[in-house]
Amino acid sequence: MNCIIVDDEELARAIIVQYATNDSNIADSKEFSSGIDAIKYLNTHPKVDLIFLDIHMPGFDGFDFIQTISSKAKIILTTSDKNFAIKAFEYDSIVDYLVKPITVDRFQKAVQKAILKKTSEIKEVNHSVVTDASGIDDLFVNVDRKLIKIDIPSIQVIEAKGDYILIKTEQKNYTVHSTLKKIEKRIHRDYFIKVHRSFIINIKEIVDIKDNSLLISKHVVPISRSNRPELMQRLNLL
Amino acid sequence: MPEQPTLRMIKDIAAGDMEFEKKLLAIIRKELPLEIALYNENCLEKDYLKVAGNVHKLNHKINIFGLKKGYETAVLFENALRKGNCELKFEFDEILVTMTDFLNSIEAPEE
Repeated sequence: MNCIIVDDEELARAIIVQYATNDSNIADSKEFSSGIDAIKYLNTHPKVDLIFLDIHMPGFDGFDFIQTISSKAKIILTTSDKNFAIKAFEYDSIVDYLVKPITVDRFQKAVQKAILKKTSEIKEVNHSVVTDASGIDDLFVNVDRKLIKIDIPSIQVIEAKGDYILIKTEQKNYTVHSTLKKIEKRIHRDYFIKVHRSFIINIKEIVDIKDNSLLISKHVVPISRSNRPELMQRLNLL
Repeated sequence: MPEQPTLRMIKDIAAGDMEFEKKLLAIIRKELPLEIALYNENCLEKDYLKVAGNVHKLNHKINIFGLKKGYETAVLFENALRKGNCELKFEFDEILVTMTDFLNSIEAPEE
């Protein structure tokens, strides 16, 4: 596991770095004295698995940090407050919290929790790939009584049109008798996102975003208010 | 007799690693005066929310030195500050003096 430590107090960082260095489950650790610097690092280093995060930092606190990051890393909160309220567990990414001064035993238990959580999530993902075939790159659609193969990553936009969906790829468009809900289960969740009740888009094909619409190739797609937060979370924002 | 700081927690954390123990003490020697200075500055400004944040941050070092009663006082002080009350300042300042005196009384790590 690769971890980062975010705390404005050097003493707290030094203790966690020492424990992390001696823990065989942790391959690498980096420390940051501000949440902003840590976010910049996470934007360019997606392979961080675990974040030790101080809740009380001046200006930009731990909860601001959690709401800002798009990283899937697990989070262990650190606090000096022995009566810390369990607001922490409103967030799926938080696996544990440690009261300072942190003991090595408690540190190791928290790391084990993070490993268990990560392992169980990997198992769930593998299971869903097998059962809903979303890991397959080809999609066969019925057009004029012919099954036509579409390369899923080449899909740019899928638009609902009554009882039909319009699948737009770089080369061609296909009108298929189906629903957005059905096709959603057959495409990679990593590539696609619903941005409006009538539109699913390939997130890797976005050219730009302006106000409540985005541009994909030559297609302008509306973004609904309810889908906007998830879209913004999935983008690699600077 | 007022509660006295100890190095027990620092020794437990260092687990026999003398270099690391020295490093922790060196960090505390550097960081504690800065945190106290910031606390005093915000006290002068009467910015009680910032002072509460400073007290919270100092709590880690109070705990590190094993000052259990000191920790309780700090928590009460922090909560009171958030309500605009600084009546426990005198008691809290005594804890800071106790920690500073203790740090000055133990041998400084060799450079």
